[in-house]
Amino acid sequence: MGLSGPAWATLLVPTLLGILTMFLYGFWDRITGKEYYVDDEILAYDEDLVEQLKEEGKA
Amino acid sequence: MNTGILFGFLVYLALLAYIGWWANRYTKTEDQYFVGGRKVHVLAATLSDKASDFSGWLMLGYPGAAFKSGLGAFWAAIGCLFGTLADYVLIGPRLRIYAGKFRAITVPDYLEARLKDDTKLIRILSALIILVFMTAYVAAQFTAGGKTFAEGFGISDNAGILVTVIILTAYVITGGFFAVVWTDVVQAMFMLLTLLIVPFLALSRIGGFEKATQIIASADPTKLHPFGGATGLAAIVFAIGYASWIVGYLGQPHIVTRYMSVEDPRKLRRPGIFISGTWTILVLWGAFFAGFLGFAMYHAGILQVSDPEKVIPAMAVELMPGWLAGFVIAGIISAVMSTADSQLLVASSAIARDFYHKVLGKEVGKKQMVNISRLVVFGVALVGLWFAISGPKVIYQMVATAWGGLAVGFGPILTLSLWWKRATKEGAIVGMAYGLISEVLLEAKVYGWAFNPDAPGFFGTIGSWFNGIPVFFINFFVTLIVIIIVSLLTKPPEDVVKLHEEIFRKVPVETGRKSITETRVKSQVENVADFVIAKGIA
Repeated sequence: MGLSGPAWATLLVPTLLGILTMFLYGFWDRITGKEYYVDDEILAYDEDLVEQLKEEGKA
Repeated sequence: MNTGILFGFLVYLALLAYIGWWANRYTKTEDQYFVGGRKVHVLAATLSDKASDFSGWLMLGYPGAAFKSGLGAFWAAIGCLFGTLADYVLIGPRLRIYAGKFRAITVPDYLEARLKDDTKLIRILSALIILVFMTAYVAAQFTAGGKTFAEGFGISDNAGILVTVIILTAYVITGGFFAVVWTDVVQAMFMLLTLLIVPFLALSRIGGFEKATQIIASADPTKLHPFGGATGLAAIVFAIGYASWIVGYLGQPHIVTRYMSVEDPRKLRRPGIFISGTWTILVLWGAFFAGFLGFAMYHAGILQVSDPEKVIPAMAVELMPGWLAGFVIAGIISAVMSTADSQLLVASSAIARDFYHKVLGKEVGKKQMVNISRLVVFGVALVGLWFAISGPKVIYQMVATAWGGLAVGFGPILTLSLWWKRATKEGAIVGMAYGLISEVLLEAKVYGWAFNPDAPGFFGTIGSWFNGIPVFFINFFVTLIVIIIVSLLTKPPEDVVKLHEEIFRKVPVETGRKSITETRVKSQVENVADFVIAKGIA
C-alpha cells in the first residue's frame, strides 16, 4: 500500500527545502564573494585559556 | 536489574566522568566557565547546540506524538528543522560577532551592551525571565531523567531523579561550559545512533514499509493523512499547532549561548549549519519513524506499549540484546541530561553573573567568581530537585509556559537587536516586560498551551479567532510589534547605531583571512614584515 503522494510530499518537500536552505546559507559567502569582517577584537578569546593552550602546544 | 543494560549505561557514565575531569583543567575564569573562553570548536558548539535543544521530548515525547497522531506529527519536525536553520541564519554569526566585541558571556550581557542600557533593567528582566522559566525546565528534565532510570533499572522515580541530579551536577560543577559542551557531543552521538538503529530494526521486524502502512491504514487511516484528517482552515491550524516551535528557537538562551562560544563566527556558516542541519534531519526522521512504526508494531501484536511516550524504550527491550538496549537507555538519558546541563548552567549564570557580579556590582577574583558560580549551580540544582520531587502538577503548569516564555521574552528582542539598528533599550524593556507578564498570565491563567474559546469574556472571543494555535506563537509577533512601536517612538544613541552599521560590514572573502596562495607567493622577508606590523612591534 505505502504512503500517498501528498503524504510523501509532506515528508520530502520540507526536508529538501531545509537542505536547500543549508546549502544556500552555507555557501552564501562564496556566492556573493563577501563575508563578515572579523578581527582579533571580535574573536576575543579568553587570554588565560589561550596561554594555557599555547603551553600545551594546542594553540 | 538487567546486567546488559547496566553495562551499556556504565560505559556511558565513564565517558561523562572522563570529560568532567578533562574539562576542569580549562575552567579557571568566568569566561571559561560560562562560554568556554569563546574558543569552543565548531563541531562541539554545533552538536552541543542541538543536544541542548532536543530534550527528553525527542526520545520520549515526539515518538509518542507520532505513535498517537501518525503522519500529522511530522509538522513538529518541520518546525524544529526550520527553527534550527533560522537560528543560524538570523542569530548565530551576528550574536557571536557582538558577543566578542562586548566580551559578553551571557545573553543579558549582550542585550545590555548592545542597547546601551545603564538602568540595569534589561539585565534584571532577562535574569528574571531565565530564572522563572528555566528553573522549571530544569526540574522537568530531572523528572524525565528519573522516570527513564526507573524504567530502565527498576528503581523508584524519586531515586531516579536523585541519581540524575547527582551525575549531572557533578560534571557541571567540575567542568563548567567545556564539560557541558563536550558531554553534549557524546550525548548527541548516543541520540543519533539510537534514532538510526531503532526504526530500521522496527522495519525488519514488521516486514517492510508497505506492510507497516497497511497495518496502520487498517487501524486508523487518518494516521496516514498529512493533516490528521483535517481539511481547509482546520488543516492550516493543525499544521501551525505542530510547526509553531519554529519561532521558539530564536529565544532559547541555552541554545543561543552556544553561538556565543564558538571559536569563529564564520564557521557557524560553514561547517556549522551543515553539522546542525544534518544531525537535526536525521534524528527527527528517526524519532518520527520510531513512533510511526511503533504504532504498526503495536497493532500487529509484536510490541506491548503501556504509554505511547515509552515506545522507544519498549522497542529497545523488544528488538535489541540487553547490552544494546543499555545504550538506548543511555541515549534517552543523554537527551535529558544534555538539555538539563545547559539549562542549569544558564540559570546559574543569571544569578552568579547577572545578579551577583553585574547588578550588585560584586568584584571578586577570577577563581573566586568560578567558585561562586559552582555554588550557584549547586543551589539551582537543589531547587530543581525540590520542584522535581514535590510533585508533577506544579512542574507541568510551569513547563507548559517555559518554552513559550523564553521564546516571547528573548526571541523578538534578540532578532531585532541583531538586524535592526533602530532597536532601543526602551523598546527592549517594554517588550521583555510585556513578554514575561503576558506569557505567565495567558498560559498559566487564561488559555493554557493553545488559544481556545473557553476563556472568560473578551479572552474567549480572541480564543475563538485563534482556536488551537499555541499562545506563544501569536504572542511572539505581538511582542515583536510592541518593541518596534516603542523603538520608533524613542531614539537610539548615535554611537550605538554607528557601531551596528560598522560591525556587520562585509569584506571580500580573501581580505579577512590570508589565503594559502597569497602566503606562499610572498617571500620570507615579506611575511616577517607582515607579522611585525600586525603585532605592532614596529
